[in-house]
Amino acid sequence: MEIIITKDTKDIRPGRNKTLKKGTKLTVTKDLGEKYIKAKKAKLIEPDVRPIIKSAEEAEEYAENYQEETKK
Amino acid sequence: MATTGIIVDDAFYLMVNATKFTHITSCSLTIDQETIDITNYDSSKWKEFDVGDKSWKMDVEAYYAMDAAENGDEALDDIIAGTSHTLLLTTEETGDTTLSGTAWPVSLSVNSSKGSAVTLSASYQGSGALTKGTVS
Repeated sequence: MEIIITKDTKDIRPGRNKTLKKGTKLTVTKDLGEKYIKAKKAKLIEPDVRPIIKSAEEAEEYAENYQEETKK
Repeated sequence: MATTGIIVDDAFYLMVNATKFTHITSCSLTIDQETIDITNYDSSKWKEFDVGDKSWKMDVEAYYAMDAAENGDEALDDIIAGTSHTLLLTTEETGDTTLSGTAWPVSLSVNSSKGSAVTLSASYQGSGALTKGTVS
């Protein structure tokens, strides 16, 4: 899983001692990622998934939703 | 969903101690199977073999980045301290095959030359079984 460090934190793995800086992106095993997330030191990076648009109506609907989202 | 077709370069990567080894340019896993010659008078002139011990090793080449969570600094720490770690070859796709096992770092070279980025080459000697698993 891919996580992003949200608060400067020590690497919690045995034999490691670096400080992981806020904003660092890491690919880690699920177990390790969950430990950082549980400790509120990292967030899961969600893959950027966009819908497949199959018709003009769907394209219009997507555009409306996208505009609403970007206004927020 | 498991990967279909050929796995392309960086989709299959190495994790050391549960974190991705970053900036890798090449990575190779070698599994060796020893053979025991059991050819005898009854072998009808064809050599016969039985299987012996198995071993595995992994070689990694990468660019050296000192601020990375798992890269040259960590490989250096491990070889100096003599620390073994779990190596995991994996993809991100659920259902794909993974390979994992415990290994010792046995060689590390850091290479610097004018006009090019600093690189490192590390070799790990597997200790015990290499285990096949699945991304979950």
